[in-house]
Amino acid sequence: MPKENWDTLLTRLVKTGGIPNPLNRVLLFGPPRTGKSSIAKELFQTHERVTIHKQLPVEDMLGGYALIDGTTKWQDGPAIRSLREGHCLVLDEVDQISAECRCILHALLDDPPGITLASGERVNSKEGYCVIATTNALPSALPPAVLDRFDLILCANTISSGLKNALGALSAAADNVVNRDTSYHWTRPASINLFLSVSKLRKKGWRDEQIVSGLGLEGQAANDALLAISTYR
Amino acid sequence: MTKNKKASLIQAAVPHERGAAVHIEHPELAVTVFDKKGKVKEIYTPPSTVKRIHEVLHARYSDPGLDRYKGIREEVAQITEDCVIHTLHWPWKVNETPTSILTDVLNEMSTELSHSKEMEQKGFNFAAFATKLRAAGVLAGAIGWRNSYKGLSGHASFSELALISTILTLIQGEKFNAAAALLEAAFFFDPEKHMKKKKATPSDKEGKPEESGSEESDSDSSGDAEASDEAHSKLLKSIGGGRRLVTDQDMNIITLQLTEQIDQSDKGFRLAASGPRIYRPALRRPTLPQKLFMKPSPQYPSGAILFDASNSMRVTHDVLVDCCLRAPAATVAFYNGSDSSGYGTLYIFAKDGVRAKTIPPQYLSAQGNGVDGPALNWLLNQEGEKKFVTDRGFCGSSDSFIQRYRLDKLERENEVSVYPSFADFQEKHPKLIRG
Repeated sequence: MPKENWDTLLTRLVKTGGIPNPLNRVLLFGPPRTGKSSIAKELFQTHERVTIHKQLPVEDMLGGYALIDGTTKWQDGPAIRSLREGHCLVLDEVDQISAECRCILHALLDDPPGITLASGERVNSKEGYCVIATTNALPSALPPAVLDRFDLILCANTISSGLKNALGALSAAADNVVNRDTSYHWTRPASINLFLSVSKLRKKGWRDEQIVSGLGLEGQAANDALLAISTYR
Repeated sequence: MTKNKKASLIQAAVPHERGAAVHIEHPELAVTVFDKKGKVKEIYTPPSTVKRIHEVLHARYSDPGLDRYKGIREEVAQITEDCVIHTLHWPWKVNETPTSILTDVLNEMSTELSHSKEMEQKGFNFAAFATKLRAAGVLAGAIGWRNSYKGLSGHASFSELALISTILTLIQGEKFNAAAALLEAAFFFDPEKHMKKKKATPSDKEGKPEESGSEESDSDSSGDAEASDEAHSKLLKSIGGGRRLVTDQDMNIITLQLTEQIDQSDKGFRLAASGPRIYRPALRRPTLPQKLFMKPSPQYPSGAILFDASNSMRVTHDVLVDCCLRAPAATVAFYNGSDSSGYGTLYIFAKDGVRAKTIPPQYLSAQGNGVDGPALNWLLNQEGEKKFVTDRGFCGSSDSFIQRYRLDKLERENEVSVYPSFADFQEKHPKLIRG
């Protein structure tokens, strides 16, 4: 069976109802400019995008009070808007997140996601909410508590279909550039969230082979996962 | 290059109560290491699907000390345990193995079976059979025995398939020690161990031969060993169609009256202190040697020839005389017996250049085999080249199928030459002309 591209797999999961329910936390890692951040535009009608950096304040993600017409009013940030309205939240360069914002990330990636604002309001996610995080580093650069929260971790080491269409004939040249970078090798370890995702997909009636390919596992990792989940039914 | 992997999926496949196993990726090594308390300590796996599954199954189900194979050779116990884990504990139900894994399994087993042929050619008979047996166990777990039988039939002979089938059936019945014992008997046959001495019985039913040796069983066996021996005998009997195990003591050996000189046997001579002719070259020596004379001494094809004289082989006196003309110095014997009672007799027809003049008809009247194992033991105890004329239709004992397989193995190892019929023997051994 030919290997499925990461963007094809994501598209398939969105169409077949794997994303955003039950898989709603996706991590894409790989070389720059392969279309990781722009995939959300292709898959979802509306989405919110946050580019993370080390000095990113919490308010830029969650929102804060602003002076409007002489009064202070709470204005939702992109993360809260996504939660309330059930949109996709794209977090670019997630490995650059500061320690301050990491706690918020835990809440945004929780199961079920939700956060308590400074005003005391508890904001829970609406159906349709999902997170797509991107990074140019290997997943092992993320703290384990963050990494383990992702349902789907895909290596975006090929140019997405949308980007290929945009490049046209030059997509072959771009492919050559991307394929020269062979440093993105990472095997997903066993984690509680992995088995949680398996459990959710089994409840949806997916077979084990579908689950393993749906979680982006391939080759030896896929066989190991099938072996690990085989006796536990 | 090895890499220590924390919390790998292989680790997650091992229940915690079996041990907090560390998974180590290795380019070639596939082994599960247990600590002194019997807990899984380390699992080394190469990038091979079957070997990874194999080690996980060992970690999940194997007994580290192989205690259930008491008294069995280690290599036999290991291969039996390998079959047990695959046959009984394959992670998926038959025909539910995931496609990617099944493809890898079939490819790897195909490669192993082709390697088994190379091993056979090099003479590593047990290693070759063990490879086939393990492959059968893996395939039986993955696709069921019926489908794996079809795949194996291109790589294993009929007798090998029969033995594999019997061993796997015992394993499926959870008779692990019996399965290992059968395998050991087929390859590492030890008459002392595998052919138990018959206990003395007060009454004889149909002319049973006299027993030789001690009437008491060996005193070294404990009560537990005797009980397990008895259980093993019962099991063997149930496999052998209700027959009992025939031992050496069940075969009588009779030497016929050897009165006729075999004409071709006087070719060749030996030096002796007396004889009909003087060895003239010795007379030229400055001092005369003691052995100054020549005596006829058969030197032509010797060794031992054994005939299966059951009804199917149609052995007659003329056949045996003709055989002596082709191997005048050989020890020629035939045997037959009763398939129902498992007793029989071996008759020595010719020896050291002399043969029997006639064979009493009653000696050829028994129509069965009965004592194939003891007859084969007798043949193996003879000196020189060993030849066996038989159609391999062994029966009459609960271990007849083991003896059949044992003969195949001896033939492969060139210990015994087997001829399916007397015509075949005639074709390959020309008559010797005196002169």
